Amino acid sequence: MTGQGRIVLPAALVAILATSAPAIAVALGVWMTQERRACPLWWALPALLCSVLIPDSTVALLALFPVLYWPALSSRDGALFPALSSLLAVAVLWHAGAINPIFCMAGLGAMILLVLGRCALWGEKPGDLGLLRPAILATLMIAAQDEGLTTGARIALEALLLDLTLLVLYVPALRLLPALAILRLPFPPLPGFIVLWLGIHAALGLAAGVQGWSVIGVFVALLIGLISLVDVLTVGRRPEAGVLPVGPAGPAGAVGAIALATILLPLIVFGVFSPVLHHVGGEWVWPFWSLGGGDGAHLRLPAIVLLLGAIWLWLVKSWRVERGLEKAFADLFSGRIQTAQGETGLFEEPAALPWVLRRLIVGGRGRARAMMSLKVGKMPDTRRMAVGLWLVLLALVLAVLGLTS
Amino acid sequence: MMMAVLLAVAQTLFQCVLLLLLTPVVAWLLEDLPRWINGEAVSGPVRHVRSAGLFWRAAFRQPLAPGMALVLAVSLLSLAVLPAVTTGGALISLANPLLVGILLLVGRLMLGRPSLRDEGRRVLPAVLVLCLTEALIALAAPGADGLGGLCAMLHIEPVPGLEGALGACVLALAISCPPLREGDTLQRLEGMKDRAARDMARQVAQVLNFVWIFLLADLALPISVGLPEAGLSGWFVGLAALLARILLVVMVLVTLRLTAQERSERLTALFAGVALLLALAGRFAT
Repeated sequence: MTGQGRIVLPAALVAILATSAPAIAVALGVWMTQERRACPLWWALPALLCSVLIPDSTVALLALFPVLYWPALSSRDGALFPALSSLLAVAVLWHAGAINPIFCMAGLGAMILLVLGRCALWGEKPGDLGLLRPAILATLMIAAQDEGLTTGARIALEALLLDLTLLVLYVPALRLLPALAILRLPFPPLPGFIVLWLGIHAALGLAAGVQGWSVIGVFVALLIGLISLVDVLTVGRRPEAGVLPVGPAGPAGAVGAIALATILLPLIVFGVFSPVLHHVGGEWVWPFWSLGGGDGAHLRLPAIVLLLGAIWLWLVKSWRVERGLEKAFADLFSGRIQTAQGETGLFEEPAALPWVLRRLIVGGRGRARAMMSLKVGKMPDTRRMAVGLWLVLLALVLAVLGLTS
Repeated sequence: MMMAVLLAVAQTLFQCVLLLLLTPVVAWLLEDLPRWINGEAVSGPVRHVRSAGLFWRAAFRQPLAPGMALVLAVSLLSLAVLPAVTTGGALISLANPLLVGILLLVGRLMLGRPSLRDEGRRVLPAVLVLCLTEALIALAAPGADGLGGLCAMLHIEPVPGLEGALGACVLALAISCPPLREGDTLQRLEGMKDRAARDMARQVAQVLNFVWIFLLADLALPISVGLPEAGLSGWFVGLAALLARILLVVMVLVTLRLTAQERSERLTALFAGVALLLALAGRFAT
């Protein structure tokens, strides 16, 4: 498939998926047969059947997510079409009937924590968890629409569209100019940061506007932050290499391409999708110079980029040397991307449980055995777990506060 | 109108110059205060001030290495953007805590060649706490546009829950990601042979440390930033409050270092939890 086809095909797919629900079913079937490592049948068949038989049920919808994300998250090599699972998930959510957003969000959060916990305990690098973010953003958008917060829905949709575009462009970018993959990182002024910022503000707009979402909104914001952190660890990592090559354009060309894409990508995405934004948000906007967070906060990234560039140029004084700018760009990039993708020490070795926990487990086992033979067991030393106890108490108080509000 | 813009620009320039003058003093405090408290004899800040002066003279005349220049540009931009004396600066609308915080953390990662295993453990929790801070601000003070809007809003209507939460967030940030020490900087510059480049990198690290402290100070006590409407006396009060809160944060950081409480994941999590609790309690109380 040519590079052009890789971009045009998902775009056409989005257009079709957005319009009809049966198309989603067909796409799901085709995709499941083509994917490298599909979800096991004992889960996939009942989940698909349930989602067809009871389309309005949130549980059936939640059961679909493992089917969608299994190829991307379970294998070390990643999926063949990673962006497709995100697209399908968003399409499924878009067409879902009356779902319960809080329940859906809780399911997604539990899924993320489960995957992360498994990776931490087994010592594997997590898969591309960023694929789950569009689903979270779509749920936020549905929740905001249900509550009548059109601005919040528009903010969530902006983040969703930008995130989906980045995900779709990610695979061809890795093939054509691998350095472009860092556009997904949550560092300002890269577009990944815009997604993070908009996502947090969409979640918090919901938390501030709707009574039942106060606590959940903050946790969703933290979840989005957590996914961004995992992105830092996984974006650009290839199973075989582990180092991101700069690409055929050379370091200077790569920096130029990144700078250009940073400026132009949000501009193009928000411009092209402004009819959709208008449809959901109720007003014609083209958020480029100043991105609104929906709650009065504004993000003026282009101003930051211009100021930062001006100060940097003044410090580098590139006009003193011939082709100074090109050399400065090349020097900025050389060696940097290797270190950014190097080993960080997280998710590399299986977690060795601390002695307290091991003692607890062994003690518990011993106690169970003692209970069997009706002997008296000995309590393990739990004094060092005081901080954990306080955290549990805090969580309890929080839960009570959230429930009584 | 013209006059107001000129005043705002002048104030931003004054803020940059004042804070850059404070940088070597704070570096001296961070380095020598723990030793002085331990009873060792220490010298005054003259050496630090002189080397900073040499550095700025060199930065004005010679080109910097591009990577170093990017870190310095990030620091300078953050210095100019954050509210210092009053919220009347020209660039106050860019002062988003999450944006400035992550910019500074990226600068920290780009300085020299850090060992990612150690630095990741400090920076990654700090990013999460920054997300939490942004979330709590958006939750407890909706409608506030960045730090400037937050200061103005707190002057009009105090939100004690949010202020306490911000203090706890700052403690969590200070514990998880303390300023770079001499040893950290030495380790980062291992491959660098050129002496001038090493000195320059050390000075850049000092500026970066100071901006991080300044961000923490602004986040901890946003109420102490004056408003531009307060007039001349309000301006001087704001100046005094600026110095006081920077000194306070430095003292807290030194205390944390002396009592070996920094870089502890448990305490970071505990203070992040406290912040969440305070903000939610403040929200539900009203």
